[in-house]
Amino acid sequence: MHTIRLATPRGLDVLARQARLVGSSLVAPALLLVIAINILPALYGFYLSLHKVFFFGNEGFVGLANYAALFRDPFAWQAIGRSLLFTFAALAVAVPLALLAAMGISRLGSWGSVLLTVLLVPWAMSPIVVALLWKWILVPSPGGLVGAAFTAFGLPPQDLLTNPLLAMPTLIVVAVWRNFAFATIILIGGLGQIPRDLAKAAAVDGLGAWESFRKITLPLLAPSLLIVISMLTISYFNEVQLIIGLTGAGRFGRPPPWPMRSTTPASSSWTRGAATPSRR
Amino acid sequence: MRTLSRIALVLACLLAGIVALGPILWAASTSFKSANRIFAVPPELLPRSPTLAHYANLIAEGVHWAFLNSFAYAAVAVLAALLFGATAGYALMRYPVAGRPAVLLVFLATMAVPGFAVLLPTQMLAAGIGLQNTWAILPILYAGHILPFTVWVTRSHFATVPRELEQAAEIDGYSRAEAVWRIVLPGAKPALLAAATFGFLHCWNDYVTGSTMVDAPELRTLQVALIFFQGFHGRDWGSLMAGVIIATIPPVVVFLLFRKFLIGGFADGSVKG
Amino acid sequence: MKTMFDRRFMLRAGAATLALAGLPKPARAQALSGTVRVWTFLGADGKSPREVVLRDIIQRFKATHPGVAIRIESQPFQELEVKFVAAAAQNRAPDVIWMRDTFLDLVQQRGALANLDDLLSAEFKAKALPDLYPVFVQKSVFDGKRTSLPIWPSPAQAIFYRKDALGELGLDAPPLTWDTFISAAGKLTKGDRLGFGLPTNDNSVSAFINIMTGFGPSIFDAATGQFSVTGPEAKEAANVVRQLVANGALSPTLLNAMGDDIQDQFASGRFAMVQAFAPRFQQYKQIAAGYDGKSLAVSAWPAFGTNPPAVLLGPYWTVGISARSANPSAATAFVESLFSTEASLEWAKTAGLVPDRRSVLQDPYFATPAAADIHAFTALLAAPGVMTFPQRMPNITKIFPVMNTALQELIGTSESVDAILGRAKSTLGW
Repeated sequence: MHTIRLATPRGLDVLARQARLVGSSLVAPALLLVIAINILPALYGFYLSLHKVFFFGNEGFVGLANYAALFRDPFAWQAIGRSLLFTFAALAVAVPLALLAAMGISRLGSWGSVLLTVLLVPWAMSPIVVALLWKWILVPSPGGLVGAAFTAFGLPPQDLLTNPLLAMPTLIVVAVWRNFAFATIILIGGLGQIPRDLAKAAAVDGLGAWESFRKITLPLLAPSLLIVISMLTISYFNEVQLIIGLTGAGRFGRPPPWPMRSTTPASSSWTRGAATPSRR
Repeated sequence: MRTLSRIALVLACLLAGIVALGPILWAASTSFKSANRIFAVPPELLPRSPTLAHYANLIAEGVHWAFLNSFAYAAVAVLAALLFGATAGYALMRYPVAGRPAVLLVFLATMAVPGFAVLLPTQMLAAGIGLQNTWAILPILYAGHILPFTVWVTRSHFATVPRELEQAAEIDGYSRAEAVWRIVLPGAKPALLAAATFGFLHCWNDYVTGSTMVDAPELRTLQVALIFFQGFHGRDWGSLMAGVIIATIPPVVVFLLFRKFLIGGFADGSVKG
Repeated sequence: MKTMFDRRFMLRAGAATLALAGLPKPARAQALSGTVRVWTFLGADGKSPREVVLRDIIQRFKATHPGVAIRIESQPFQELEVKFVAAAAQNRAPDVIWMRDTFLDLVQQRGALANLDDLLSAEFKAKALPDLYPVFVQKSVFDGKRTSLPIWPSPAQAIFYRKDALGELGLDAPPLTWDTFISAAGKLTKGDRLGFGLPTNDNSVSAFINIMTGFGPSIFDAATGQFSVTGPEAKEAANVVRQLVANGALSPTLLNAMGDDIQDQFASGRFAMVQAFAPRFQQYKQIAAGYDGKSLAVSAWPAFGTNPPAVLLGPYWTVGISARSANPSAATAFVESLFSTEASLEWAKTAGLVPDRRSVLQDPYFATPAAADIHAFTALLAAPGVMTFPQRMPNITKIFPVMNTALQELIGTSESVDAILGRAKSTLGW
């Protein structure tokens, strides 16, 4: 019965259509949910960005006025600039550190996996919890951990999070602390795919450790490095929760030391127009 | 020479371990200090007279309910994402699907959408259909956030299960669904666990979505409940650090239990697709 | 026929309502039902004294109004006003809302608050309303519309000091004129300890305005609600800051401290005197680690010349009812219960707050030593230098950050006072 129907082109057609129907309906729930939750709000956000939105109330169409205001706002440009600086500076610290850790760990054998697990613990933590934790460590009081360190050197306790010069490096340190180990995992995977014979051959050819790293390891690791860099770039550029938690940016009426204005719920987007566009 | 570099390596590892875990241990120490010793100068590394007062305070303020909320939201979201994600991932691998390239693009592109960027319109839409401030809103949103990743990981793992195995099962008289249940799913266990772990961490660790979508105290997530300890009376560091410890235990335990799959999932094929 | 029945039914229902309204209060109370949702920064299960009192009040309210359920939905205290306006716009506002007086104008402009004169019972209007502190009560009335009731009358920003530190100079309390205060503050800087600490980075606190209040209420223009940012009073306040920096009382290393940071540092013994949020007095005592918490005390702000010591009342808390409350009568009954003489006495006894009802001060409790702290605060409220922020202060979300930036520049740079204040003025657009 089966085979006979398969033989006719029309039967094939029906079967193909059936399979298509089954396939599509298996994909449909996931697809609809993803569209409803990730794409629909983005479109609505764009629609809202063409309107004046005040305290969650839509007060009418204003065209591109919100965008114009945003482009004129020096704070917005500053914010974008600082976001980029933060992202690239954090990358510049995290990637070499992750590479170093990956090479060390892959040499350590079973102890290496213990160390990797330890390093990954901060990554499993919630960004807002990490923020609370570091806020306590950095508390500008002689009774705080960092404050006590300053006092030990005869300096007054500094508030690293609000110091105009040190705030950015401090945020970078915390962000890197939280997730550089994640990059390490991927790099260890990449290192594992480099054939051991190559390194041996290099040693036989008289290449030094540095040369062998530069000429063999690094080029072969390039795909993994690319993945690491792109994932970390997205991650750092979107590091909102950590920064809100640490600097309190977005509290009503306070110009945040950080560019979260139109993306955090409690920020001025509640009172202003531009709904989503500034960061996308 | 060898022993010297060996010692250097061990020292470096110890240092790395201290940097990674030190802050958490300092928080743990603070959480056991009595209120009037927290700001002692110089700081006490270990609490001289340990107290459980801050943990008791968390219970008194009902933080354990928020803990359970976070857990329930994450569990429902992860289960939903696994159910819908794995079916979609399987169908995308084994069935013809209408508009397949576009569908794949949707899942790939939405993986990069950070939830907070669309937070405000999401809140307004949710309020418009009456879902804002209900028990359902957070599981739904979380499921939507972790679905693209789940689809992607399971799909690429299903690709590694030979079609012939399934067909053999079907020839043995199993239905297609049975074949999937008995052959394909067990084979994809590492991928499913990796997706589940990653999804759980995402849900548990969220703050911005929880704080925007829910106002009622009994619906609050743990992360949001903790923020209340830096409030009207200043920062209650003892309770805050007790909260930090409580909030850190579940994700770290889940991570330790399933780290093999998670690390495996990221280190080989899955991410590269 | 049917319409006749309907009309008759309506008439009867109307008559019943009238009859009900005429009944004595207990009978009316029993008729109330439904749920009253309350947004406040207090938690339903909290252990702080105010939370304990609120729980007691709710319990008593439930005893007399068995049909009404009170739901406390606590919110982060800095976000109450914003969240409330947003919720009102989305038709999900709570029935009762706690908010700060400085935000009243902003919130009432959005039409989010009910007119309490339409809701409060005749009895409350006759007995309770005149018994509250008139300064606060009047500030909630916008163009004849009563938007809220003030609760817990208290100055917000006071000066906390350590008696042990001031004792080193032979002083019991900080001097109350700026001339003498500045030199004392300078002498109090010793070793790691600073003489004076100011929060310069909070969103609803401006130490600069607090210093200016030493010139009295006339600094605010009655018509515009503004103060002169570059006027002689502002310049004099700026000079005070500069002198405090010059003699070492204020440290330029503490440029961006929030009130919370000052509090944390004070606990470690880093300051002799600080500007502090008055309601945190007990909390300051509890976390004292670098000094003995028993030596903590509170003072008014110094004044200029012959002006009396300054007391700026606010931001303080007020309680309002949502314009779209589905259950306004029950909500009103609950709000009224917050201001009963019984409640006032309990806010005072348990939480150490100045009673809202002034007549309660006749209670024998206030003759006991336990009430000494409260008398310190009622003295401040009765002081000649007492004042509030103007009812309609423009740019309320901008003024504090702008003046804090100016304050930071005064402390951390050597730019001229005129340039700094001029910039603040132009940023505000005043």
